[in-house]
Amino acid sequence: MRQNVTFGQYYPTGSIIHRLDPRLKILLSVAMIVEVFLIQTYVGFAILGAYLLLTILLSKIPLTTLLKTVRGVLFLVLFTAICNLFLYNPVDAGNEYTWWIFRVSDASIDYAVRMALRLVMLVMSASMLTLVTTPIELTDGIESLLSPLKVFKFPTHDLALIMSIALRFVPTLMDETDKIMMAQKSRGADFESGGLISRAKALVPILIPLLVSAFRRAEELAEAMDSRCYNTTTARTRRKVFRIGYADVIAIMSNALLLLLIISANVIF
Amino acid sequence: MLDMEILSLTNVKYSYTSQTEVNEALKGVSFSVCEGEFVTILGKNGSGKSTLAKTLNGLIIPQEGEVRVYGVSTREADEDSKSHGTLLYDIRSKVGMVFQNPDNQMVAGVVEDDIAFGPENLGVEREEIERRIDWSLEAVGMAGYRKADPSRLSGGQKQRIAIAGALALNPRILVLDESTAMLDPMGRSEIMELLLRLNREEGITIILVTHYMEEALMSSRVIVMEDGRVRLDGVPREVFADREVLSRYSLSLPPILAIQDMLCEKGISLPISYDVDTLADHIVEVVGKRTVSRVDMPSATYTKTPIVDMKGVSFAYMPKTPFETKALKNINLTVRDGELLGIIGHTGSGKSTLIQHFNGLIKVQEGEMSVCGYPLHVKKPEYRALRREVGMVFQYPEHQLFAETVYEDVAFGPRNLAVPTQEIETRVREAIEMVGLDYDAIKDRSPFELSGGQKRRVAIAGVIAMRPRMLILDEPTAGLDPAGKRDILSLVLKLHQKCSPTIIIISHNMDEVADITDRIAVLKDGVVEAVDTVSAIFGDRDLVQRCRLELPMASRVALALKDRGLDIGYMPVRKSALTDTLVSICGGGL
Repeated sequence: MRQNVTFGQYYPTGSIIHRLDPRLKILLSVAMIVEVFLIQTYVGFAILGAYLLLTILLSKIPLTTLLKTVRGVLFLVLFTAICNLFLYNPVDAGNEYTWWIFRVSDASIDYAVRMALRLVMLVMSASMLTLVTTPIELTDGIESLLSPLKVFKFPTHDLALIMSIALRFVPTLMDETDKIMMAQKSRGADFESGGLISRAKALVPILIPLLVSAFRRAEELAEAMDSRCYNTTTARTRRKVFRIGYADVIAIMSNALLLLLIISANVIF
Repeated sequence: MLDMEILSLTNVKYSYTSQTEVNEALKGVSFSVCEGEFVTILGKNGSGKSTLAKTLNGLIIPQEGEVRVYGVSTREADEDSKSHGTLLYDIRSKVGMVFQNPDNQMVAGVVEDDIAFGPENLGVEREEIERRIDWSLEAVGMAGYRKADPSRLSGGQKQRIAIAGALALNPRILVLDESTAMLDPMGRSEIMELLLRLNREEGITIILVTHYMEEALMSSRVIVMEDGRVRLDGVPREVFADREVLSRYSLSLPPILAIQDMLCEKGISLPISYDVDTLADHIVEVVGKRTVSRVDMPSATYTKTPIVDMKGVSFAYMPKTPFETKALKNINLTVRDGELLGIIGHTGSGKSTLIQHFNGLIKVQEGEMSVCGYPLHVKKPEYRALRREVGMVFQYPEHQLFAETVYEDVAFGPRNLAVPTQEIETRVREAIEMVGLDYDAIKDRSPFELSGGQKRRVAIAGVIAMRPRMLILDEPTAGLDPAGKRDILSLVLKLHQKCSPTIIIISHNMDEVADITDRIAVLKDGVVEAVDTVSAIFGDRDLVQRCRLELPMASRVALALKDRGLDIGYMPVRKSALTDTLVSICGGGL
């Protein structure tokens, strides 16, 4: 029955990238996103591209897997590029090429290509984070990064607990949905044909049992948590401690170098 | 050990109130438990067992009467917690609680995080928490699983993690509310062994709510609940001695005692024994050592036409990814038209994947198969037509009820088959009556307000109303009390005679399988290890060992007799067969 569903797209290879501190991975991904927008020159794109490629190679994730994530947003990339191609029209646009009602210029081609490159690199950087970090590590990382907010009475731990429970129940509820769907299919239910209304109606025999079960589970979970002394009175222990290792330091330094190179490329070229 | 009273209940009353009715769950319960006891609480569904369990750690505060844990009243502790006191958490860490569904009591996606949850809540120091994780994992025999993902463990392992989570609070009492009900026999015996060990070695007091009489036999004290009251309280042997009382409270006899009762009825009375070896000793004393020439069991008659035919069927989940798991490997299996076939095998052996092939819920990946004459390995199999012929009752089928009334729910299947409206009513009535419910009384009620056993029957009726030629039932008795189990089993036999001639049933209970099926298919790691008559399967010692099958009680007794020099000539699987044979041997010898 269990289909070993993994939530998100974590791709286990056990590489050095996978083993980096999750907080650092989150911060570095944010840094890469900022860097993508800082880039102004093609040399800059080449440098960032090389950096991305190096990360991918180190993570031992097949390039095709990463390209698949780009495929998901390909339409968006093309759409933005085409819009920019025809609509971007600055004063000093260089050579102009006209065909029927379409008119493009050197400047708009340049702009469209940059925009496409930016989007692709953006998606790749973000995907890398979820490919090399388990959802649990992400939760822990976010909790730790948000912990300074505790000063303002922000309930970081409760937030992390909510995220952790949600993640924990995703496979359980997916299995459950699967089972209910199969049971109703066995009773002749048809989810694939018919118009919009009849399809929506066909979902009722799935959604109601699923809701009933989710409530039952929530109630039981609450009792189990109560039984294990969950409360808001006592101060909770924070068990997770992250330690920064050599690899983490190298990752930080390499990213700092990347930033430096991108800025100097902007200045020089 | 001092007989120190650590838990006492005096006249505990509790009722649930909804808008429409008041349901008195506990009507005045009093008893006390001493340190080191192993108490099982028995009683049919709705007798108040679970409510009772929840009063023990203050999840439920009784409306009248008092529960005291180490002298502290749960009511006072509850009030104390409202003024930010910690008395209630003291009680909850002294009384660890484990529930029925292992999936619904885990908060984290990593074993160690889940175990740490309790001590973290209490603000226990970090190093101490690490020590407790190590210790409690060690105690439940799961030391290697610290970093594991709980959702990938077996039911028995998950339940052991849940126990470890309770142990991490350093409890003196462990309350388990039907924690073995959802497990397979192997998982159940894992948990029982663990509980006995914790009781013996760590001196932890155990209070186990269960439907399994065998588990009650292992404990030091049995409390029988009925209608919100304690009806019997004593050592297991005393409680089980009174057969009349047992049947009054809808309890079943443990199989070993049932065999002795049957022998007694047939004229062989023996001193009561509680384990197979003693029983075999007693029987040999009376019957004597002898070897009876091999008896050929008459084989059941079926038509030879296959209704399911599988050749070289293999199946993998998430094929061609890092997560690929092979669920079925090269399955060759024939189900004959008109037979009652049992499928057995441990959790994860591929049973569910196999039966999902039978009505086309899973597309054949490799190999050839046909069901009811429809080929399923072709490009576009006729699934809709197939599902008219093959009815499927999933595990816990009551979880799929959805309609506003019982009538509507049962009518769902026939409507999907485009059965004419006039006929639908006939079919719904017929199906509801077939499962033993009163059509006029129940048809307009909401399925959600029925009892557990009734819900299950309604769900089964929903499949029967489609009038399938072949019916598949996945563990139809799981989670029911003994009376509910008996009812469902006799329902299956009735359906076999009156409704759908071919029935396939998955079960973990070997006595159940032995009692109702003709043939069994044994699955192990996605491979069909054997398909044969019930007595041939359980008679094959090598197969039984290789697949780690539990034997039905009658077979276990027969084996013990053989070891003692009394060979009855064949392997009995049904209690009636064993006792009949013994009586005839005895009669022939005298």
